[in-house]
Amino acid sequence: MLRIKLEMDPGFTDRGEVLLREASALRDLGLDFAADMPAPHLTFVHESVVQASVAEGVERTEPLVIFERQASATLGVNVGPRAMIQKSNVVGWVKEHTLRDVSIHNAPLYLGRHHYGLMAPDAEPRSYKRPIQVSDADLAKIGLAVPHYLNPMFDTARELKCRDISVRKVQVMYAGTVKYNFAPLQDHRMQCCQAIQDLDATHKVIGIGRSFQPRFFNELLRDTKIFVSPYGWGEYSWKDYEAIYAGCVLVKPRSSFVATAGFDIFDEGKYCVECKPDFSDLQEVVDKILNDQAAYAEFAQRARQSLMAATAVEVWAPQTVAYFNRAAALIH
Amino acid sequence: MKISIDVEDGYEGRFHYLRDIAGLLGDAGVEIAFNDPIHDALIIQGSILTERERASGKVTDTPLLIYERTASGAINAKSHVRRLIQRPNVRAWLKETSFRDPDLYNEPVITHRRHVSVMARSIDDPSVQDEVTPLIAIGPEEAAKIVAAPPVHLQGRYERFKSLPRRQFKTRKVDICCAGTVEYGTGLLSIHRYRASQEILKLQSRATIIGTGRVFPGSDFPLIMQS
Repeated sequence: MLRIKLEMDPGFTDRGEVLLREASALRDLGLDFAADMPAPHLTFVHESVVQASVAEGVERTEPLVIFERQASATLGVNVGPRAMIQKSNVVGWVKEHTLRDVSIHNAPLYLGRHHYGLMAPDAEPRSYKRPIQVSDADLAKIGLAVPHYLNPMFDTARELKCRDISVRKVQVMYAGTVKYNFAPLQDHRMQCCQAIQDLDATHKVIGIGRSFQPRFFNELLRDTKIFVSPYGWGEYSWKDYEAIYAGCVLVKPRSSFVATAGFDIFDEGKYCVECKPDFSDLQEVVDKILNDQAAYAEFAQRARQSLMAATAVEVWAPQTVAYFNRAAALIH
Repeated sequence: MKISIDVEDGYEGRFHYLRDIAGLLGDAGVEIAFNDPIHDALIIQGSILTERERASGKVTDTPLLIYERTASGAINAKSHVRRLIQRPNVRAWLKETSFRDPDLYNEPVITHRRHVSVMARSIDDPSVQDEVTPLIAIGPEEAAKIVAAPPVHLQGRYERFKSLPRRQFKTRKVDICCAGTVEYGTGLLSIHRYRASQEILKLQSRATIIGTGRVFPGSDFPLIMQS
């Protein structure tokens, strides 16, 4: 039995909640998670907790699997995370989602995140910075172990009763913030809104800012055929999962380079439909879906069923178990 | 005096407010009925009167209160409509909205609606050339017959809104909401509405909702308006 102490940042305890909720099933598979684990083999700890220790002059030397809670799939580009992942006692590095091609973590990055470069294709090449290089062995520590879609915030979305998209009234919907103190992201989201605004579709909803109360948002999703979800600080959005739980066709700017735990939401062509990062082909993408609603109703239904199936502990837990066992094997 | 109301199917509800104040009207000696052939005066939708008189070949001499059911404050520019208001037995001309300045009834308009001209002029739309000056003017005598009734705010559709508890303005999260159809047969109206939503879209630092088409469920819409 691998004993793992869970040490999450107090502001993000929800991220590890599923490991405690399913502690019994995980124990059956050889992993024992607890927040107060005596004599743990390793500690699954939030990166910010370790950084706080470092700031206080306390070096964590026990075996650690770091949880990097960052919206982006790219490994944190700052010195902190890149130095931390190289430490010999750091035997694992869990992200909410990661890059399928690990070499991108070391590639020149526009403003530190791979998807920022996709949002700003015209950015000056000189604005791409080569991050601190991480060895292949250390990059191999990066993995997925906690399914994001099991976060308690999706409990309501999971329970939604869905209707076939052909009877839904809203053809296309966007909801989210557009105001950022980061021009490429603000421009990207405005491009998204403008592209929806200009669509030749008669029933659209654009909600800017946190304008929908959760109940309305869920009700609207249930009545929406296509949900368009642009990039944010990261590639994924919580709304991606909510849209699929609600049975919408999820349209995303290219994200298939991102892998996610348990349910591989961005696996090319499987659960979401991609558009260009500048949304210049959104009309075409939307037309294709609206002109073949029977096929896309099946697509949305299949995506939802797969996501629902992936909520079963026996589906996602083996990936978690395999990951932590692999990490434990690196303990010296 | 008994007044019968004779309007197209689907529009009777607009006059239910009179039924609701039947007691008060009764005290004043007025009885309200719907589609009652025995009456002293008739509230009748203009379109019904025109069709009925065409079919029978007879001109109605009963005292009439004509209900011109149009979304616009303007009076239809067609001469046969305007001749109706000139009739001595037409005692009132009921419109849901009317103009404060009676001169506006005689201005050149597009598609019988002054605000369409206002929209066209505001964007230099070529349809301004389609403006038509009504051949029959509304004079002071006719203008005096025009009454803003039935009151729009008393329509049954607002019951849900009225039942909501008051929510303070400062606690509301949505700064601006715009919901409605944008695709109309006439390009001008589509452009006008598109521009409204386009301007809202530009207010990036505000929490806004732009709903195009009938996208919000009726039951939720009042709550969305209050949010």
